Amino acid sequence: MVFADRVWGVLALLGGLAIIFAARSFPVIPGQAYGSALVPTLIGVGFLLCGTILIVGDLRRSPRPPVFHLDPEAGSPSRLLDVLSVPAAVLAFILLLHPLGFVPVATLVVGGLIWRFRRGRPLSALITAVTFALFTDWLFRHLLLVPLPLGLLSSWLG
Amino acid sequence: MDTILTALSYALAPSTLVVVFFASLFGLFVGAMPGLTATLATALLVPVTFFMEPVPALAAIVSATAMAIFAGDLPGALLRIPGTPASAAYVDDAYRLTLKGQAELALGAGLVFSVIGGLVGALVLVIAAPLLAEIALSFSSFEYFWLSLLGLSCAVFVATGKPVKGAVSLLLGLFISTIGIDVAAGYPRFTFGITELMGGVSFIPAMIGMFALSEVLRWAVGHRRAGVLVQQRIGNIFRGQLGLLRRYPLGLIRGSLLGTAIGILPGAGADVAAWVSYAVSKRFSREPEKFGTGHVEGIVEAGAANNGALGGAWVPALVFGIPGDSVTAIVIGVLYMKGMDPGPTVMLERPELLYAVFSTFFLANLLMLPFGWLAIKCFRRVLHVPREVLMPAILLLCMVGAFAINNTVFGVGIMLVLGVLAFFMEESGFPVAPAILGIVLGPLVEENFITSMIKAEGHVLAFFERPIAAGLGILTILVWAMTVRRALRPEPQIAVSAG
Amino acid sequence: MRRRQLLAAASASAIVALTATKAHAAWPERPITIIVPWGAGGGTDATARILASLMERELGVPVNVVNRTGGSGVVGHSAIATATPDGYTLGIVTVEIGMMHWAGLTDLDWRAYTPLALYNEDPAGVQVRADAPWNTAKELLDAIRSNPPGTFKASGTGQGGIWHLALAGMLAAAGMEPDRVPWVPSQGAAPGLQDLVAGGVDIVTCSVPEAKGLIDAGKVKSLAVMASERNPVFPNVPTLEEATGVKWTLGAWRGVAGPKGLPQEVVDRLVPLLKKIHDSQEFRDFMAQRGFGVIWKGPAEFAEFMAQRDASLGEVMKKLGLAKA
Repeated sequence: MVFADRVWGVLALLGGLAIIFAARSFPVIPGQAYGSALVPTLIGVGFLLCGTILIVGDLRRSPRPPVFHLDPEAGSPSRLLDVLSVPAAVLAFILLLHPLGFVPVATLVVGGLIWRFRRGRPLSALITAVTFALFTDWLFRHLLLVPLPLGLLSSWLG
Repeated sequence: MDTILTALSYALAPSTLVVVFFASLFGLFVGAMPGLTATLATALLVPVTFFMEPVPALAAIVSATAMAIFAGDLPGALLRIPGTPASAAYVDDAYRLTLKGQAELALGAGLVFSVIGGLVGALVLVIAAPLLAEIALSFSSFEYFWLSLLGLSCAVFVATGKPVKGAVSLLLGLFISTIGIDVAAGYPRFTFGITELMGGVSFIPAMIGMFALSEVLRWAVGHRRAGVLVQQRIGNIFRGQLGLLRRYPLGLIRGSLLGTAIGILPGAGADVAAWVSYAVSKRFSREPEKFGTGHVEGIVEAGAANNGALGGAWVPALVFGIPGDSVTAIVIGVLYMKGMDPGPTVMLERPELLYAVFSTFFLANLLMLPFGWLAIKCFRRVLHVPREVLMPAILLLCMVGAFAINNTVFGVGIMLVLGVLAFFMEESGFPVAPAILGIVLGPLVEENFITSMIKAEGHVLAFFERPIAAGLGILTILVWAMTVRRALRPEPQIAVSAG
Repeated sequence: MRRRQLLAAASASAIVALTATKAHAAWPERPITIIVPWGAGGGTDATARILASLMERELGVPVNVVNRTGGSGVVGHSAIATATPDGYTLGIVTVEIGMMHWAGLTDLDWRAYTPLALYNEDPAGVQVRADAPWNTAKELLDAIRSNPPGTFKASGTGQGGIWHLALAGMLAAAGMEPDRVPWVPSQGAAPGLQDLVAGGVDIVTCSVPEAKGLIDAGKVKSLAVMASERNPVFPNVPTLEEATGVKWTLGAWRGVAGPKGLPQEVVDRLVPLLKKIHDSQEFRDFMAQRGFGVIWKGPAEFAEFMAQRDASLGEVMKKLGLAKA
C-alpha cells in the first residue's frame, strides 16, 4: 500500500499551511514578542519546505510512480478484510470497553480476530479468547492495579 | 571501612535479598509488557515500600527498574514491540536480527550489555555523585536548549532512506509534541476543544501505535511470508557475546558513559540516552549502512546506555533532591518518607544507608544475568504460538498498555490513529524512528528555547553568553551544518534499497 | 450463524450481570480509585498515596492512586468531576481549581465537586541563591524597586500558576507593577529551582518544603514565607510581613473531593474516616517529615473555603492581568 511521494508532499503542504494558520491565533506571552505560536510556525514552515521537495522530486522521476500502488496479493478482498479487521477491532475496544467491561470486550476482539485470521474454528477461538481475556484481566487489574472497567461482570469479578 | 561493612550487611540481609528477588521478577514482567514502563513499576512499588525498612524499600525500586529497562528488549526483539520507551531506539535492529534467525544474538547482547551499562552507571554513582551533580546543576535553559537541539540532530542518524522523508517524520513528531497546553504561555494548542488532548499526546500510546500496531497491520496485509520467523528455537544467548565485547569495546564504553551522563542531566532519562547513543554509534561506526537492517552494534551501545542512565539519574536526586528522570522523581518522595532527605547531608548523616543502596545497584545488575536468561527462556515460547493467535493477543496487550498510561480509552484512540498513520508511512518509505525522537525531544527543545528567549529578552547573542552554552552552541551549529551538507549531497544508491 | 449464537450468549450474560448488581451491599464493596491531577512523585501525589494506604487499612478494600496529569491540572480535575458519583472514584482537588477557569482553560470550578476534607495548605516562599547579595526579603524588594523592570527574573511553575500569582501579588502588595519581575515558566518547582542554582533566574517563589533539599545542601536560601505564621520545620524563615511589612499571603492547598452528587451514605462514612486518618500519628509524622502544612476542614467549611479562595484568586488574577477578560 504505497502512496507516491507527491501525495505525501501535498499532505505535508496542506498540513504545514493548516499549522501556520492555526498558530496565528495563539497568544503571545505577556510582555514578550512571541509565545505559543513560535515553535508550531517553525514546524509548519519545515513541512512546507519538505512538501515542496517531495513533490518536485517525485515529478522529476521517470517513469513517474503511480499515485497509489497495491500489492496484487494484498489487494484480494479477503486480505483487505484482514487488514480492516484490525482497526475495526481497536475501534470496537474503544467504544465498548466502558459499556461492556474489559473481559467481554477482550473476548469479543481477540476471539473475533483469531476466527477471522484462521478462517474458521470459532469455538476454539472463543475458548482461547476467554482464557486470554480472563488472564489479562487478572494480571492487569489485580497484579498491576490498572483499573480496567468491570462493566457487565462487576458483581462477579470485583 | 566500618561504614562499608555495615552497608554490605544491610544490602545482603535476608530481608533485602527476598525483596530484591521479588522486585526483580516484578520488574521483568512490567518491562516486558508493552506500555508498562519502569516509571510505572516504581509507582506501583511505592505503596508496598511504605511498610519496609529504608534499604529494602529502595533496593526494590533499584532492582525493579533495572530489570524493567532490560526486559523492554524482549518483546522488542521478538515482536517489534518495545516493552519500554528505552528499547525503542534499537527495536528495528533487534527485530530484524530475530527475523534473520539470530534472536539469541540480539537478546544476549541486550542482556549482557545492559548489565555492563548498569554496572558502569552504578560505579559512577558511587565514585563521583557529588561532583557530577554539581556540574549538572550549573546547566541553565541555554545549555539545555543546545543539548536538546544536538539530540534532534540524531534524527538524521536514526533515519533510514531518503533524508527528506526522515525530516518529514521528525517534523511530524515535533508537531505531535506541541499538542496540548504549552509550557510557555499555558495556552491549549491543537486540542479542538477535547479536554483529554490538553494534556498532550502521551508518548507511550504513540510509541505502541507506531511500532506495534503498524506491525500487526503489516502482517495482516500479507507480508505474512516476510514476517514468518525463520527461527523456532533460541540457542545459547551467551555465545558470541565475548566476541562482541572484543569487537565493540569502544562503543560499549562510550554507550555506558554517555548513557550515565544523560541520566545525570535532569529531565532526560533512559529513553533519550538510548536514542542518542544509538545515533552516536551509527555516526562513528565503520559500517553505518548496516544500522536498522539487523545490526548488533547499535544494540550493544544503546543497550548499555539505557541501563547506565538509570544509575546516573540518581545522582542529582540524591545530592540535591532534583530528579534526573521520572523514576527518580518518585524515588525522592520515598527518600523523604524514609527519613533520608536528599541533599549532601544524607551522605554525611546516613552513609551506611546510602552505600547499602549503592550495593543493591551492583547486586541487581549482577542478578540480571541469571534472571534475564530465565526470562528469555520463558519469553521465547511466544514464538511457538501461531501468528494467527499471537497477533490478536499482542493487539490486546497493546490496547491495555495504551489504556493504562492514563486509564482512559483515549490512549487507545491515539494508538489507533498514529498506528495507521505509521503503517502508511512505512509502506511508502518514511522511517518512523525520527517521529518518535521528535515526540521525545520536542517538549525539551521548545521549553528550553522559549524559556531562554524570555530570559534573553529576544537577544540571540545571549544564547552564547555563558561559556558552556557558547561551547555547546558552536558544537551544535557545526553538527547541523555538516548534517545539512550531507543531506544535500546526491544520495548514494544504498540508501534507496535500505528504505 | 455462529456470530448470532455468540451475541445471544453475550446478551444473556449481560442480563444476569445487570440483575446481580441491583442488590448492592454497603459501600465500599469494591476497589476505590483516587485521581491525582499531578505527576507521580510530586507533593500532591505523595500526600494522596499516604492517604490512600491509610484509607485502605480502614476500609478493607484496595484504594488505588491514579495520576491523570497534564493540561496544568485541567485533565485530572475534569476527570474527578466527570466520574460516576458512586463513591468509587474520588480525587485530590488542588488550589488550581480556583484558578484555571479564570485563566480561561476550562469552565470547571469548585461547584463541580462534593467536598469531603481539606487536609493541607502550604504557603509560598521567597527563595534566592545562597550566594545572592540579599539576606532579607526587604533587601530583595528594595533591589527590585531600585533596578529597572526586567533586571531580575523569577520562576517556579508554569505561566499563570500559583507561584507566579504569589510573586505578582507580592510585588503588587509592595506597591510595584506585578510584572516588574518577568516570569520564566517552568514545569514545576524542581526545574525552577535547578534554573535558580544554575543562574538562569534570580527568585523562585515555590513553597519552602519544595526547596528543602537545596536549602539543606546550602545552594538556596529562603528569605520569607507568604503566610501569617512561620513553618515549624523552618523556624528561621520569617513571614513576609515580619520581614518587609508587606501584607500578602498566598498558599497552595489540597483536599479530598468526589464528583458532584456523591451519595450521603458515602459522605457520612468517609468524612469521619478522613478525620481519623488526619488525626493519626502516621499521617502527622509523614506530613511533618516533608514539612507539609496540616489543616482540617470538613465538607461545609471546605466548600466555603473553596468559594472564598476562588473569589479572591479571581480578583488577584484580574488585577495582575492573568485572567481572561
